[in-house]
Amino acid sequence: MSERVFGLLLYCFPPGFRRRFGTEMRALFRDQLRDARTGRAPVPVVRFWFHLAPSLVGAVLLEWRDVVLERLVSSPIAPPPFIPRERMLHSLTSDVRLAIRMLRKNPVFTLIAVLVIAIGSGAVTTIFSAMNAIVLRPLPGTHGTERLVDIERRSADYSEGTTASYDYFTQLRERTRTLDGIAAWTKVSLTLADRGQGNAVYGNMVSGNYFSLLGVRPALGRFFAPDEDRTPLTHPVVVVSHGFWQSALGSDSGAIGRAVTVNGNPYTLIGVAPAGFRGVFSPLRVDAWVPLMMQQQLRSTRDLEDAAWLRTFGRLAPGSSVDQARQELTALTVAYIADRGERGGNRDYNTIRLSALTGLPADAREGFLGFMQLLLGAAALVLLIASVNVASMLSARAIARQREMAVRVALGAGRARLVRQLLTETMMLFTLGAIGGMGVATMATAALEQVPIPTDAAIVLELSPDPRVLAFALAISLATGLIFGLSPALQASRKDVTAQLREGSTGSGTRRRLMSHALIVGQLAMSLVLLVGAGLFLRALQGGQKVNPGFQIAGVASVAFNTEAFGYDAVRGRAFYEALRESVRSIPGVEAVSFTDRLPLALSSSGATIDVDDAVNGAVDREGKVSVQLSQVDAGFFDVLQLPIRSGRAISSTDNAESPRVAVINETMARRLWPLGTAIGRSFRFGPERVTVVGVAQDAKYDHLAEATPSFVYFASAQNWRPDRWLVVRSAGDAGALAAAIERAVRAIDPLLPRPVVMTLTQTTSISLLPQRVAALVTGVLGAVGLLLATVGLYGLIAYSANRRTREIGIRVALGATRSDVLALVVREGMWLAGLGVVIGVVLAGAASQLLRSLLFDTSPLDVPTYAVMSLLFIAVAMLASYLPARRAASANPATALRSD
Amino acid sequence: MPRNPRDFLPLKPVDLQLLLALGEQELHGYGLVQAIAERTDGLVSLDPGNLYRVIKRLLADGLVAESAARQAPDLGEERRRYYRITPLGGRVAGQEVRRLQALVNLPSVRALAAQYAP
Repeated sequence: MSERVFGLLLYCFPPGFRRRFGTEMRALFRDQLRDARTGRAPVPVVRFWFHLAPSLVGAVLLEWRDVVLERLVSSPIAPPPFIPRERMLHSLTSDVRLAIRMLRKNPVFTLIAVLVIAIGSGAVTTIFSAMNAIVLRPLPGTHGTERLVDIERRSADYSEGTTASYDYFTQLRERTRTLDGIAAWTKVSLTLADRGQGNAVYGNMVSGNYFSLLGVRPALGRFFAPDEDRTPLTHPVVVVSHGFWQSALGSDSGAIGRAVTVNGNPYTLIGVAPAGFRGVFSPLRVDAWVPLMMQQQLRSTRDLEDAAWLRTFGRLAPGSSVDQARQELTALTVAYIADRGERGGNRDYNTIRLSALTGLPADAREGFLGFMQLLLGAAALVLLIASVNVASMLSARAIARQREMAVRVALGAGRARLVRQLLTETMMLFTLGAIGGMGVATMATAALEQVPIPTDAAIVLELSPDPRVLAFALAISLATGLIFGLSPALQASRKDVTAQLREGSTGSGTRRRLMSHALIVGQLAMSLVLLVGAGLFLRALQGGQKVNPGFQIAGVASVAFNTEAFGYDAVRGRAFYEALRESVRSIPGVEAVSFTDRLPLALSSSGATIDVDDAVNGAVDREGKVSVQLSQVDAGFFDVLQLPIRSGRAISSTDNAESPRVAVINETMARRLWPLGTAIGRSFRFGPERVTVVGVAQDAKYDHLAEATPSFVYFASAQNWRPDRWLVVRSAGDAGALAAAIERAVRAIDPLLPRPVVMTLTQTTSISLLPQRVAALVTGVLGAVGLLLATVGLYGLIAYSANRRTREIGIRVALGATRSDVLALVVREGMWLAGLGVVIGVVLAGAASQLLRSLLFDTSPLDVPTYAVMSLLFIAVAMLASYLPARRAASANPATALRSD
Repeated sequence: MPRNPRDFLPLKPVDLQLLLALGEQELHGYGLVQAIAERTDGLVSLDPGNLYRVIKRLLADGLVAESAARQAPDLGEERRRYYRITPLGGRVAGQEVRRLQALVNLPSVRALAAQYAP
């Protein structure tokens, strides 16, 4: 980890220096770190950094100074007042050297201050690093992606959008002038077999220019040639990821040109993508790429010409701007709609949105960024607490150093010079803090990467910091350093010399005390805001687990299948699912078996519109359409979920391709469309077909727990063939225990199929609470850290104040004050501050928590128990922080106390 | 461009140590740090932050030069950049040592040393 941080720090050096010596410096660092580790020092690495970091920061500053000086000298119009500027840069050198010396001379102060800044800066840096990794930084493994734009076809107000059809994509590709190229891709489930058993992989079907537009170069072999992108079904070739090549092909460099099977069809392996490249949607690991032209073989249910299923991105042509491209593509889209006579919803998608192509698709980006901004705000509070904390430490130190300053002034130092010197020290401190913060962020992101994400997809999170994060951490630290260091520096250099030299070490003043009290109250209030935030998320999490989803989550196992990925046609696919159902049903402990195209509470939704003739007024829009959510389920589905049927019947095995089309609807839909009388026997039109309602199911949660119940339709999956389905199994006992038996059942049908991934519904539905879980975790940690910093600050202040009142306390004791009187005297001061902190904190928390509303389900942002519990916890901790110094003050011997000062 | 070695005097202590270490053998960064720490009894300790600034300056002055990168025998697989002293560097170091010797041999300096650091 140390080396990672050091590698990033090298980016602070001027580029020329870094290029020339970077590798060597890194090697030397490694050698010295190894020496430090074998040494006997108690905390070798910390000690090593303590020596290295100041000299490193100094070297960075001095190297940049050299660069600036060179520029000045070589500048064609050498400015006449050149000398002062040079002198200023030279005095920077001595400032830096002196600062390094001062910080090394007070290792305890330096260590504590750096640690506190590191915690605050580390909190912010961690969150920023995660944001950066997922949406801001260029895709791993690509080159020159600054000019790449994600192209989305959306409605005029951007609120809704659609993917692109192949026809639309080729039209855009041929006609655009503002883009150098447009590439298309879509996901596909693949089974890749070298020999023997297949590997289930997440794949992408891509247009021929996909890799070249992304600037990706093959690690081995080649990518798709132009003629592999022209004619359907003529070029069965596949490119695999570096990871797949290593794990499944044993890093065999002779693998290029090898015959493999993809979904049961013979393909040729032509290339290996570079390590790190994971496709355009980077958290989801893509392991294989095949040409778009092969799609009829791999996804027979989709029609190349009509269906809209492609995602597109393009590269801006030299000289054209994002805005020009947007206007041109929008015009092309409008023309396309008129030309093709598009109808229905597609007609409304007449606008193009362009955004930077990074990690997340644009539609997912907004929600994610909003969520991360909340966490960033919480982390910023911790940084603020830490900075205020250090500012009070600096103030205290400024008093201790008043004599030193006075001596310097007496020796002829100007005030400006003193302020600059002190600021340089503070900036060094904050820079060292930023380096520590990078260390904290490197560790914290590694911990965050371990948060389990309940899904069977191959999610890869790489949240670690990069140079952009380093720049951010440094900028944040230097800005806070300047803000919080300026006032102590001014204060320390202010007082007049003779008074200082005479007065000795006890500087004081009501204004100063007021100031330090205000700083403590501020810290306390902010930490309470964080605690309340954490408490609210915990309550929401708790509440979310109590929300009744309308069905029984526990005891259900699920497995995703896609028979197309097995290379099966529809006939064989149906036979597979029939055989699977029969054999799983015979597993001991299995109570019910069914299939569905959509697991409940997995944050996935699928909507459509239906036509209803006899609905009540107001239930349909002006074209007679009703928006519904829908799902395809097989017989037995309602038994597996234990979702009650309120009237009529469930989908049964007699609802097959030959029988009339039927559906079960939910109570909400029945009430909205046909509030009078029964819904059973009514019918509606879905596409070309007329569907009869045969049953009404109890309302449930479908997509996520906080949703408003939609109108919901369950169709019979036997009446609409789909190759991809979830097997769902109700178990009498532990659903997870069925995994081995289900795997055996699959193996018995076809031993070459990839290993099924069995997940319980408890696992898959937990993703619907993932944002709350992450938020509770992060704000909880931040809140604890904030409280710790604030109470340590409070402790320091009370201890200091009790110390200053030693004499007063001595007099009181001598005059008959009891031990408890003294305790009360000191604790009262702490409690007064804590009380003020609680009042301000509660008000601030009440305002800030409004921002969390959408994540809290039914929990009110002003949830009284949360505020009460957190305030009490807070008071208790503050009580402890002021009791400890109070006890010391009370146990002092009055005789000694009176003699003090 | 012949340059007068005396133009470089007096040398900074760390520069002299570095030249003396390289005068014995070609060294890579880590070797240099160790050699110098040994010679000065740990008084001059170099780290990645300051070593390469010194090397940069000495390279620019033509007192040391880069040798080809090669594997260090005791440091595993990785290749290290080695540095060597140039003829000019040797002359400068020699002149500096001569200067220090002359300084040390001054009677007043000897008396001072005898008095304060016996």
